[in-house]
Amino acid sequence: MKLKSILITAMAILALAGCKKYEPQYDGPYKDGDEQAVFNKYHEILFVKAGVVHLTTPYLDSDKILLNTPSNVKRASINYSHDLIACWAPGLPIVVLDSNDVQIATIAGTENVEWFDWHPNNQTLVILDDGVISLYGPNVTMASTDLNDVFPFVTSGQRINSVAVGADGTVYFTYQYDEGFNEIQRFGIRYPAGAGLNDREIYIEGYYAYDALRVNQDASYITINASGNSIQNAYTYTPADDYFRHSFGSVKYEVYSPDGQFSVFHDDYSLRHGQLPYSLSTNGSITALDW
Amino acid sequence: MKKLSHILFLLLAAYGLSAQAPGYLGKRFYVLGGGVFSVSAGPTANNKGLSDYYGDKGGGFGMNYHYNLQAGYAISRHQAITIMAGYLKTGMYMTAQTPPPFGDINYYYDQHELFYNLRGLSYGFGYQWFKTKKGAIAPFGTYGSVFLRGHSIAGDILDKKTTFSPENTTHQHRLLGIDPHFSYWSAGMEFGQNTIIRDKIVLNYAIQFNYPLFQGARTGGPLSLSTPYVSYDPENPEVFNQETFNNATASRLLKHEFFGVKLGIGLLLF
Repeated sequence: MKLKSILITAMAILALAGCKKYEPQYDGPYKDGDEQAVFNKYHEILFVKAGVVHLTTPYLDSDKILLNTPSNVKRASINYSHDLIACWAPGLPIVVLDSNDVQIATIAGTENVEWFDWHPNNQTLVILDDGVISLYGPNVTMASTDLNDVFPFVTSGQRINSVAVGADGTVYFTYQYDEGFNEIQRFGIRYPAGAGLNDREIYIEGYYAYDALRVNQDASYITINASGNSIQNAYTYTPADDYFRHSFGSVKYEVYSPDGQFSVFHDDYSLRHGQLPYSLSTNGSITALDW
Repeated sequence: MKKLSHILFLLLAAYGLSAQAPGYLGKRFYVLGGGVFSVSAGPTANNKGLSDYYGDKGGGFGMNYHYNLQAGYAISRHQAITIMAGYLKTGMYMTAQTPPPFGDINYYYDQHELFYNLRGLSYGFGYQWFKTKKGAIAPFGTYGSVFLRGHSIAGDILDKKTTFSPENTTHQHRLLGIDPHFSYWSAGMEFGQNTIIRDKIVLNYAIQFNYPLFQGARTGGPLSLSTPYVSYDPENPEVFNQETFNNATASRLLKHEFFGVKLGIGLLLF
């Protein structure tokens, strides 16, 4: 009996000694890729391939597909906080989804828009339709809403192709017009009143409609891309030094990281990291890229 | 002659009747529940250990546990066969590395100190021999045993401390790419005693040794407790991280399972 009691007591003590759970000292539990928070944190680069919206990471090591988008998406944009995505298929209104792949809105009257992009407030979608900017979401201040006065007199084929609005209200846009037998492509900047800067129009050398303009979150890099460009000839503008130049290498689409440290670009075959040997094969061309 | 054959028959009968059948009062089958315990060098599942623990807080007295269920059947007066199933839970820490999103990846890396809980199921079978010269008769008394077990281990990261390289101002890191599963076989031996109380309750106490039969020299050698060096390739960091996990798990399990005191209680059934 005594031996039995000792054994049972020993077993109970030993069993109870290990019951206290571990309390995290640092970041706590972690799991690669499965949790929604990690999904939001890492899958923040958007591209559209063959009508399907994809999200990948800055390391281009993982590719997730959004399922609740319209069929045959051509253009899409992701906000800077990476929790709202806007998608457009030709002839259909823009659809807004959250990063959980849940549709949250359909924007009526947007079946034939030229371009759209998220404002740095992450809540407002800036929509371009016939050269006029409209908003979906909270109101924001902008230097200009009607860009159709940018065209010189006696020109034809006038078209505002794409637009982005900075946090301070600066409006960046691309446009084209025919002057005689020449098709002119330009990149324009309209500064808000009181900025102390003159509006700019920069000539773009090229024969393609530069219709995919992107601005990174701190507006340190503006990339000007052409969806129909087969010779991979994109441009980059950096306001800090007022430098407008060709993007380095065979670039068709390019977007910069939120702080401008590095870029991700597409060369008609794969998505590539601007500085490191990471790449994600897309097996051909894409129709949209955003970060 | 007839008288001699009668005497011979009676002698043989007396011998046959005095020989004991296997089993305790004829009962051969028993079941046991309990575990194998040892003082842990660490880390345990809750980060205890005499010499190893994760992070800034931990350590101290802790125990390694491997809970088990066992069934045994006496096949002769001095032999029994056993089957067993078990569950263990322990801690393990390792360091993973990933390259930063930009900069010189051959020089800089993000470092991740990880604390894992390892949990695993085991299944096995064994053979016991009972020391009849010391009064044992299977399944009762002093015995020795050898056994073989298969283990399936899974790990969960309970804590992570990331030190970002100076180049990585985004403070986001690449996925670690670790599949936290590990399977292996182990061979073991045990020396102990089954005591039977009130003709049906079985008390078991033993000392047990286990040696994991890892694939390859994961621990750097048959009796080495150190983990072998793994080369880091910044273009394939997942390979480094996976090998580091495998080696750290192997090393922790070797220490966890090598020696323990087994205690069990059960029933002698039939």
